[in-house]
Amino acid sequence: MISYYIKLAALSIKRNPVLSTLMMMAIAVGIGAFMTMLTVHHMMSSNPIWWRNDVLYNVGVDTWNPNEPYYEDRPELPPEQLTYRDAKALQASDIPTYKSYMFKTAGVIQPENEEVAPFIEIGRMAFNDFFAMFDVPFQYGGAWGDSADTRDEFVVVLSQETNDKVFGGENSVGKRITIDNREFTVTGVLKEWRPTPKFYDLNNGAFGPTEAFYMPAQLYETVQAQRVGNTNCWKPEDLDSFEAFNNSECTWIQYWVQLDTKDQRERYADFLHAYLQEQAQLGRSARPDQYLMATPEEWLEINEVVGDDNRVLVGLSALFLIVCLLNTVGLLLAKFLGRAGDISVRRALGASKLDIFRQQLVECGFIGLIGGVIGIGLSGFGLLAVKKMYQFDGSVMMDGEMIAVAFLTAIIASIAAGLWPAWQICRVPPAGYLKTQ
Amino acid sequence: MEIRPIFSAMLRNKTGPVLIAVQIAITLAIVANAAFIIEQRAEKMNRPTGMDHENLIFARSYGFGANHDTMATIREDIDALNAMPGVRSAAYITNIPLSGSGSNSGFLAHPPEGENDPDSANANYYSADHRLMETLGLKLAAGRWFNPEEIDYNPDDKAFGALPQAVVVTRAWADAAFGEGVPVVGKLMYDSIGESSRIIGVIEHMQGAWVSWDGLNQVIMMGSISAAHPLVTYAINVEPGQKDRLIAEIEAKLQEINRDRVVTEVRAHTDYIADSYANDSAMIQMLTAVSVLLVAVTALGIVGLAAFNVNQRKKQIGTRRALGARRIDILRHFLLESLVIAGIGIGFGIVLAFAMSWWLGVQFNLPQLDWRFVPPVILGVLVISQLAVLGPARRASGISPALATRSV
Repeated sequence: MISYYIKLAALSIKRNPVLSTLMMMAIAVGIGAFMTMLTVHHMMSSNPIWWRNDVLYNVGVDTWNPNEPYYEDRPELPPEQLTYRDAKALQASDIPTYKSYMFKTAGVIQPENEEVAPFIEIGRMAFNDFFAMFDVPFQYGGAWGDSADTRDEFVVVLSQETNDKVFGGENSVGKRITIDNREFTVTGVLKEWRPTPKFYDLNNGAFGPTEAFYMPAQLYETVQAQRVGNTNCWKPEDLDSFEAFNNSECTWIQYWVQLDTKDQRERYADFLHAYLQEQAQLGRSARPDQYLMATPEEWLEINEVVGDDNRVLVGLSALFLIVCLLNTVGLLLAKFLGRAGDISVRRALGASKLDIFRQQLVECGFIGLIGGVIGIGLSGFGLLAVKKMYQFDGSVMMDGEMIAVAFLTAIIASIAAGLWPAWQICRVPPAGYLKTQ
Repeated sequence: MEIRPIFSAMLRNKTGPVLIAVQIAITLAIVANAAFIIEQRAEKMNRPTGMDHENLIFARSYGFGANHDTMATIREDIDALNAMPGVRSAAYITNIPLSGSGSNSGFLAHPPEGENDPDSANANYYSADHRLMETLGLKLAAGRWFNPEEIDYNPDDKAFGALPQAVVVTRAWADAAFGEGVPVVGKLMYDSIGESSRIIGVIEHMQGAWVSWDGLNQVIMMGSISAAHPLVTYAINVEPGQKDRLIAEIEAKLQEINRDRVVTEVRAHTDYIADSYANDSAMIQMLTAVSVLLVAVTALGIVGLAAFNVNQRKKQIGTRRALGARRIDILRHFLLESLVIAGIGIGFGIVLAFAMSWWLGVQFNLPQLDWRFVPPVILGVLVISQLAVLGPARRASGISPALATRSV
């Protein structure tokens, strides 16, 4: 029966090409706009490390200004980054399975190949737990050994792009690379890795690129590495030297741990509390109850990665879709009522009201399907424009989930739009139309 | 006029008019709110920068060679840049205004009393040389800019923290720290650890680093060059129309002078500004797109309904014509019908517009819709709804009275 209905639908669309095209376009434009905004929202609100969401924690401790909270509107939260001294103290805990403080640095990479000019890149200093904790995929080799986290070893992990640029994409493990005039040995090369949003460090844009190289945080003091992320200070103090800055109350370090069991989590919370208490006793500004252990999902939420603008646009585009559907209702009404004659003949030949109703809805679903396909095409263009406007780093595309949502929305919406017109047409008494034939 | 037959015609088939009225209501509400948000964003983007940003290029040099001498590099680079044809002036600065990256700290009109003196007024601060005013195109409201011999060379200041002997401040910062309109030239200002510096000039207006920060206009220029950091920035003012050519030439020129460094981010100031406002301009573009599509779809809906009505009522129209109605009467009937529907839609739309604005306010802290944005949108909706119905209405008025006699 359904194939017969589909055949009838195709016939009817052919017979009313203008009205049918208008309907499809109305649905397509509505779906196109709505799916564009929804896909951006979906991307912004996605958790790029969802499979480890229950074991990873961003750690914060509140040693901020005693006179005013870090977030004026959320005084219960510690600052989003740590001071160097707090980061070092937390790194001494043996409770977490993995733990790493981390921050952005910059360095000039000087390829041996004279034809490639030296170039400046943003890198990251961290412990080797960084790679294990975040499931960072390697193309060649792996993270540096544990020894590089405790004594100075000049080792480096390169991103795929950097390896392509410097070593032409070949396996460079064990080779030497000069960064800021020092020779480093490559221990590993990453596969393409672009967590979106860049959950582990949301400073300077949640959708920015990942780093070009990674080196042990152990080397920070030895090489007096540049700090290129965000730095926030509150305390009037002398910051004129490298050492003075490192001992200051300025916050600039991100901290993540992996806590696998409930017991670990409880013990770690106690540890943070005790640490802050101890610091307060030592006379530092510290709020013992204000520590944070936030899962990646909570962390993205706290940092308001999804902008209000995007939410407003999703809402407005949903209303726009509704207007497009109201339009479709009007067009369907016109189309169906224009065919009252045919319907009456079918009724007279024995089709029940329900048959007619079903047939009309199949036709609506059919139109919705085609409208949905065109709509997905339109949102492809929309997303290209959005990518350009927001200067997103990675690609902005609909994933399988979003395409499924687009089809479902298109079909459900068009069938919903068809309910009232289909109901109207079933109620037409056939006799009146048959007479005029 | 003949308002009664219009209502009775509409009541015979309520669905169509109701659909159109609802579309008009939603359209009005969205377009009014969108226009209001667009206006606010545009206002934010069009604030005067206080700089000659159209003709500015910035370039950065990151020294890495073992023998790299930052101070010598700065001197050499600035001389070379100033000698380039097409360059009007080049100068040293620590960061790029309106780029979203910079330094900010609290400074005071008197020595600080305790930690966190509440009188402290935040400022974006930049180190500057004696040419920077001319290069950026800043205008002074009082006092003067730095002399070359007033610029402190500070080879050990790792964090750009130390105050130089002389500073120039914006009027906005002076107002915040010293009080509205208080003359400040010749006075001392203090940082949070009590070091002081002499204010020698006041900039009329200039924007700092972060476009969404409420202290954007509070800027302090320090007469100093900090040579301890390997990353240095140059501001370059070029003759109009020479920007694109010079961006490539400057990069090559700087690279040629000195190979112990990387030349990076040679970009037009307007590019940095566009980046800083990327979210706002994206919001404007997307709201505009949604509004235009919305109006188009609603107008098509009106055309569709009117065309359908004309078709359905052919016989009745013929009868009216046969009974003496003129073409203009038929035309007027449909225009008036559309006007009535639009009127009802507009009525609900006004309520909806303010309800939407209230909800946006509660949910996202957006300011309440300014009522002055509503009348122009109403007028627009009326005009479009009349234009949309014009085609079908004219077709209706062309229906021959003879139709009434056929196929009865």
